[in-house]
Amino acid sequence: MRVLETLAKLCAILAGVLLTVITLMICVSLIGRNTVGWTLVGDFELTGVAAGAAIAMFMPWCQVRRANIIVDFFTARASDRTNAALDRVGALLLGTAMALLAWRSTLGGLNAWTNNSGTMMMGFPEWVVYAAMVPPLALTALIGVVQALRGFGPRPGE
Amino acid sequence: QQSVTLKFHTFMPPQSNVWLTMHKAWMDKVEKASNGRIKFEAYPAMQLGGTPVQLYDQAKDGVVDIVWTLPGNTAGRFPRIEVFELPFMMNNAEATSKAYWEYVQTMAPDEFKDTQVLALHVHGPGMFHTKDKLVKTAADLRGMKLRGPTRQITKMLGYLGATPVGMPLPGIPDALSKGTIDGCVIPWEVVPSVKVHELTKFHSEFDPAGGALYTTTFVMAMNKAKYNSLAPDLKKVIDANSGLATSAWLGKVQQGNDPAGRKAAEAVKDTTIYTIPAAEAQEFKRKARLVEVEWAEDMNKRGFDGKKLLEGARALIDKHGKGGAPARKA
Amino acid sequence: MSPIVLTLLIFGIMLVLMAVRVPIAISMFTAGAVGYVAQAGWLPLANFLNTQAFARFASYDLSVIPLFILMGNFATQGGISKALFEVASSIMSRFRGGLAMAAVMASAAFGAICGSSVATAATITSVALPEMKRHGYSGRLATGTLAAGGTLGILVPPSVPLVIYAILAEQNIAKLFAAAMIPGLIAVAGYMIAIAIYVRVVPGHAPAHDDAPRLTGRSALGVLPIAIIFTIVFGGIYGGLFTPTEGAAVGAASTFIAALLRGEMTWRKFKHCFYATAEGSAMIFMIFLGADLMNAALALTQVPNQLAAVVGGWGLSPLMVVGAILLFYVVLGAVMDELSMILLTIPIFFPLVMGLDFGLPKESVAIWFGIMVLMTVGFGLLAPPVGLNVYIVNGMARDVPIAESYRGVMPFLISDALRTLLLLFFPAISLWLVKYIG
Ligand code: NA
Ligand code: NA
Repeated sequence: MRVLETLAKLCAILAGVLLTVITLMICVSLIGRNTVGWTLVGDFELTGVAAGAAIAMFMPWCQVRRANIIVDFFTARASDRTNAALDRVGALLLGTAMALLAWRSTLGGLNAWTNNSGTMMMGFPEWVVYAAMVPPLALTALIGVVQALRGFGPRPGE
Repeated sequence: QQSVTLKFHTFMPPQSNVWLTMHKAWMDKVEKASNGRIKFEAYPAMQLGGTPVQLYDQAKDGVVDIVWTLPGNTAGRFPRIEVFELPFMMNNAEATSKAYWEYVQTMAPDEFKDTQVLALHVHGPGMFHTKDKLVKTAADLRGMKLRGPTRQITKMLGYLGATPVGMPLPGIPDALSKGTIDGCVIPWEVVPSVKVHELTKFHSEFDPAGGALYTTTFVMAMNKAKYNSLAPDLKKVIDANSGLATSAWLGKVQQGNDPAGRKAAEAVKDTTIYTIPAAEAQEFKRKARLVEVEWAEDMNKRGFDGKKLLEGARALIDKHGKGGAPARKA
Repeated sequence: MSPIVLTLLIFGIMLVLMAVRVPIAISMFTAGAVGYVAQAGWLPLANFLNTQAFARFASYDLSVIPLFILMGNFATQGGISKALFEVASSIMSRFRGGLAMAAVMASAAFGAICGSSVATAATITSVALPEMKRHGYSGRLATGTLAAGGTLGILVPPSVPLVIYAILAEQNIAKLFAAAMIPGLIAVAGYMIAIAIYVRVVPGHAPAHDDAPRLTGRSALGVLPIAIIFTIVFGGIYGGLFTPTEGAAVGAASTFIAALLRGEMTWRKFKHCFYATAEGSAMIFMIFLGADLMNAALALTQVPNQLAAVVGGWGLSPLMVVGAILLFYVVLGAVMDELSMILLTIPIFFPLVMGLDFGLPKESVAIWFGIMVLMTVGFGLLAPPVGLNVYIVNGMARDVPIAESYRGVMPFLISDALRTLLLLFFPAISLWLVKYIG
């Protein structure tokens, strides 16, 4: 689990840096557009695809921290043991759903690869985004399954 | 006796012209022609999920049965049909839609090979809509921030001296009202849906004699397995409502929505609608030619004959444009 | 299986899973998947999933959400939101419940540069919650206030739900933002009044007196970064330099730079920003993903369409139709995520509303209805059992039971209800500012 946590942290940092860089790039493009008339045409597409990769890379850490929202309204009176058991079932379901998504996104990425699909303006290849998304989705699945099998320790900090 | 229900999915909003006058109308026709044995579940506005970019794959993979979408959404996937989106190719959507259909059948038959293509068409002449300054000559574009509709036309705007701005279509009204862009290029038909007639004062069309600035390609495609599963008489109904004639009909109906957009603009006070004469269009064409050259080179790189494709498309547009007078403004 | 039964089944599976602590996102995902397979089969679902993560995550329109959350974390780690809250509390400390009021003010100020309720709630909670606790505020009032304050992130423009509405309804986003301005101010005033009444009527939740430091020239400088960012973002958007979506990136970048300039950012703090952004964004997009499947399954049943037809056929007065739709939204919003609710229902209900005659121009109706929808979204963020904002704030106050937090938002829900009725019967309140735009 420690290895998975470290990987999840790494993903989150990479994604955060990516988002920060994109915001700065947009600012440069905007300044260019409004001063010298130079602009990165289709910069909005880069924002979209960068956000796509970043969101997927945020998922493992979110699950490590068990930050995916649960409704504890109805089980507030149940014992801690019952709740912990229910949470393990929840983690298993989440892991399964993420595994399904990782598998299908792999196929989606292969399809984008064979079709040469790119974004409308810049032609930025879509398969690159899929390639950035699949590993963190698979990592999230793995984290969910490991949590379900081994139970939860104390919520990991940073 | 077989009867089927087909899922029709697209990104167009349910109150748009395209949905009401083209999609709904087509579905009604098919339903009637099949005596109600073909029914539709109609899903506008991406109600079944995904984004417009994925519509084609949804038809290919059988997520839905029929889609209507913009192949240009995914750069590089349908490279050969982009020829119709090059500057100054067309002036009449009906004729160009016929040409587009025939071009795909004869010159790019494997472009849409993963689906049963029902229709291929284009919209009416695209043109300039500007806020503060009338576009009369190519030089007027210098420094203007213009929203480009497609990859090729965005490129062209840059070569014409404008600062092209990329943004999704729904972003236009806000960007125009605040001056984030000085104008946009769209056909008349799209004008009311993004309030461009209220937000711009100047509209510059091209004299049809010299060709229109640009158009956009569309495809209506059906899942192959679903098509093959139809009983022979139902297949016949679909066949009768697809192909060259249906492509032409869609192009014609879509251009037929142009006059309403033009009227909406005429009704606004202080509106100027200017027709750029064919002679002046030469200057636009001269500067825009690089787009064509680059497209042909790109085709060569992909292993096609760019020049042959371009000439072929032109010849087909000419062939189908003969006889019918070019569509004149409203 | 009849469509109605199927719809109930889909909702039933979702609610049961939710009730037994399966993450909301996965409850929707599972219920949606079951409903989808029951209607269309496994293969279409599998193929739908091929592109679904890409479609939902790599979306330009939604990319503003992680950007807003990132911005909130830069503001927190850079000490910007703390300074903002300090100024607000020194102004409000003379009133009973002053710190709670200050939290509302700080939320509104942050909401003026941030378009996401979750980001606003998390940002202000991180600075205000410890202070309120230290001063003896009850967990109930503190978390209730912060959850409600968070909705100002969307009630005060810029606002992500309004952007989504504008796209679906083909309306001018600038006009919608203008229309949301006065309702946003009414919301701030309403929350202040709710606090003032609550601390007097229900004793024991707030100290009689807050001993916040007095406002000095030096501390007043604390609002400067937010004021500058606000000027850049709004000046840029209304001055035509960039679009509202680009404004989110500009806001995040300027907050980043402001945090750097204040000299409080270390690599450790940066990492903390990224971890917190990861939690906040991944959680929301996970819900989107589940909601996508739910929405697709519900759309396949065609029940929303039939519902619209049924409501349309009742022959109600136009105002009552809108009232019925809003009521439906309140119910749906209680068990669903709000952005997904808009995505599912606006394409169906919007044409219905536009077909009614309110004695107003079509565009005014569209804008006013957008504001009404926004109000129900704010409501849904607070209402049990699935009030996203309440969960965000409660998650940061781990010692407060969730039921206490839900009790704490009640005064604010009453304030929301009154405001919604006011705006429903007086469209002019929303439409007044619009005529000065474009
Ligand atoms: Na806001
Ligand atoms: Na809710």
